[in-house]
Amino acid sequence: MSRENPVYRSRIEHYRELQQRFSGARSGDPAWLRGLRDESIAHFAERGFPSTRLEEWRYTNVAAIAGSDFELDGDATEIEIEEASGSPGVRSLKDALASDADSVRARLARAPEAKDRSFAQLNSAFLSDGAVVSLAAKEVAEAPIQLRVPPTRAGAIRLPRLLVELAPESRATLVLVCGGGAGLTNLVADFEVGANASLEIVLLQASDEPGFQVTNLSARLGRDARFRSHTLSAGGTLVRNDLDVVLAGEGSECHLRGLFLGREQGLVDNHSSVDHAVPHCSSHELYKGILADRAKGVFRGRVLVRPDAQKTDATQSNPNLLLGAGAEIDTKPQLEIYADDVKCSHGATVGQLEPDALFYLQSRGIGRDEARRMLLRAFASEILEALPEDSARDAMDSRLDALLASAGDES
Amino acid sequence: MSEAPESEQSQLERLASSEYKYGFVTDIDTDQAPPGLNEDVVRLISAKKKEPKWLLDFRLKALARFQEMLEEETEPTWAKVSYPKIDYQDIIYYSAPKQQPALESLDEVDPELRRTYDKLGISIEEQKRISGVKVAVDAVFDSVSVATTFKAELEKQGIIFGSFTDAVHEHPELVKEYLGSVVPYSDNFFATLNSAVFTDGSFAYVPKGVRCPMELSTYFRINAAGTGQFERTLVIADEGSYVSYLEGCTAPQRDENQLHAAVVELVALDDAEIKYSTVQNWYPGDENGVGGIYNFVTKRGACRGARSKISWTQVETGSAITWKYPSCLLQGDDSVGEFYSVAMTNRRQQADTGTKMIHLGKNTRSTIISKGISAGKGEQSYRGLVKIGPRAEGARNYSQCDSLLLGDECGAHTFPYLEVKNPSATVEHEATTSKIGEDQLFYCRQRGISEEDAISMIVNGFCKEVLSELPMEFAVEAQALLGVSLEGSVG
Repeated sequence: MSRENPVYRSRIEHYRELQQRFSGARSGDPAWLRGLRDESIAHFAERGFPSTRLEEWRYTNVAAIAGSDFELDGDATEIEIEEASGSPGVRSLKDALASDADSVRARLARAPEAKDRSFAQLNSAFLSDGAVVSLAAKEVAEAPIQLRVPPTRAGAIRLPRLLVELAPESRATLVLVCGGGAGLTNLVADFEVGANASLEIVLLQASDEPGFQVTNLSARLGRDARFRSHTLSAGGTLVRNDLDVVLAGEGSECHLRGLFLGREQGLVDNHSSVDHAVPHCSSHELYKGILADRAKGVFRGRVLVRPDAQKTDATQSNPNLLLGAGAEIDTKPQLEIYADDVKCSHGATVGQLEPDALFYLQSRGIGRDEARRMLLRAFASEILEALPEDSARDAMDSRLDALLASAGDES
Repeated sequence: MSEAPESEQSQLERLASSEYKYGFVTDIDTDQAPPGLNEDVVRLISAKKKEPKWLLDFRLKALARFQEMLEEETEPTWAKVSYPKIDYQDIIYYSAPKQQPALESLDEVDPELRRTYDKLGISIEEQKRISGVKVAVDAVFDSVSVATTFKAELEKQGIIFGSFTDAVHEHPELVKEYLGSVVPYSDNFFATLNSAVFTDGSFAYVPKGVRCPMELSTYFRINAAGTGQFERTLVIADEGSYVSYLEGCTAPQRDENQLHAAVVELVALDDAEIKYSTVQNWYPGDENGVGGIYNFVTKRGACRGARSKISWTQVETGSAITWKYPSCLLQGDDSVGEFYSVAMTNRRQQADTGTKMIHLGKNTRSTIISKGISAGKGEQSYRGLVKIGPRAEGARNYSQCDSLLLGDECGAHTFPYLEVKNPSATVEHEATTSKIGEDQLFYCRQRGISEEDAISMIVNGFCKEVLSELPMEFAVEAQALLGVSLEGSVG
């Protein structure tokens, strides 16, 4: 398209050296794995970090990431597995690689390549640990599977990988806490949901430190499969989530939900894409944003309905509240439709707390602050009420209070 | 309902094979520049038009920039349209009817030309005779404006309306002040090309406090083979004035693709209002996508004054490719921008159209209503930007983009961009895509209305919000055009 890749070329050598040292220390790994790492770092070096001249990154400037030399944070790739969720199908990627490298290899081969995703390539260049969740046919994980990416210390990078596979008719709920910290967390996760299986995930990104979080999540749904995601983001300097869902089996259904809170100068960017590849699928997307201070929110929701994906039912909605005088939201809901017998809609709104509603509450003796809190909670509750477990809700609740306090009485 | 798909198919085919009604070529001697783009051609155009030096300089600046852009390959590629690379050296940039008309009365117009307009159904004579609604027509034939009706009557009110070339000679101070002030010569690839080689166009100025007593109208028509039409329109509404401007376009049928890169600039000062309506029916190409107009147009209006208003209404049924984003810069406090659009793509037509509403002033308001109808193998995209600047306190926007799909080989896409930098702004965007409901069709057919009529009714209902914004006589034409384009296309 253009003569030069619109990317940041800086620091590429740094990551190349880092990767060589990393790979060198793991010379005992299978050849295919080392090959994959080398290929990935080459792709990354070719692409560099994305600049705002790329359409997908036009509102999100990663100069702060591209401009620093992040070092590996210890092992840098592990994901902690909570003991309580001791389902036999949950283990670390390291263990899986040691005991059953071939099945991991086959599993990785099924995940999308994402050659044009710099961060995903950078993650693959250090592929060694993370978590693997695989449920057998008809297996039901009763308790939510709890996973946690440890906080990343300042100046450091973490590159964990999560692979999830649900065999037909299995069911699981997964809670993934990205601990934040002041460094860069670069997570890649891939979800494979088999026929008639059901997967619900909660991604919680709450941080009190000025760190960076970049995630690439992809899901592929089989026949009559169901996928629900809840992306909860609050805090940090920069959060960027790419969530790509392919509805590959007829009758499959996905619900993508998100709540993002922005404070101070933070930036939260949610990019989602739903690919209706076959007929009779439905997708429903709801992302809500609340932005205080000088925070910036970005939303991109893309719905693609391929030719022949008839009887598609797709909805998408992105309401936002701007509370701070310098707050900003850039939203880009997109529909790309190539089939005619479909029902698709999207909507996006930007506004403030309704003055009439505030007045109504105040006229009934409720203080202004309390009234604002009630209205904000009401706005957020549509997402929070639907969460499958409490700890994430509590975490978001307390962030909401903090946001309210910092938003003060500005609007 | 079981037989419906078959009849859909046959009707769609019939629609696809319907001939372009305006596909005739007028045989008039034309005075042409050799094909190609260079300084000589630009100087030739300027000399032919006896232009003052400042205008030639403007053109040369644009040409230099355009040549840079060609080298940098900055021809826009982001739109969802595809076409073979255009050879900008293979286009004739100047084509004028040989008999240079400097006309006072219509009777002096070349009879051949007159017959062309008669065939188009906009007979100037007829226009003149219309008693109730008066329409002043400035007809642009290829590149030179041939005649302007009602000129005298408008002059009485101090309204200036005529060809761009005349305006350059008669009112250079106005042209100099406003030309390029809304769309700078370096604005974008096609606008820069236009700035270098524009040949003629229309100019209108409505003085302070005057309400233009009739609708001003221009009729564009591309005639000569291998020519691009690069017209330039400048409409200025001074304080407290009102003007309604109509623009209609057709082109004859040709096998090669013709380029149309126009620039339209509107300026509304304090309390002024401009209503700009377009019915675009350029030749869309045949069912295999051969021929047709590339309609790459830059249209932008600046609401400079407080409480000013600019309203764009467009009905786009023609052109092989449409690339068009009529926009409003809402600079004045309390200014209002509106965009009402119906776009129809059929056969292999591609349209990437929408609007930009840039809110800069306080309490600015904008409304976007876009209706897209896609049939055959048509591809259609709505691409729009609503931008609320940090100082646009209390800005308000409402956007609605609906698409209707007729047939399973077409596409409809929506790419809205909402950028809000002021927390007191309220922005709403809604979009839907659907096909004609079977129950709606069934309801009509059950009452004895044929499928074709039912579709036409439903589509007209779908577009009603936009069509009702058009001035009366245009609305009738637009409805008829939609009817013709839709004949038999059943969803």
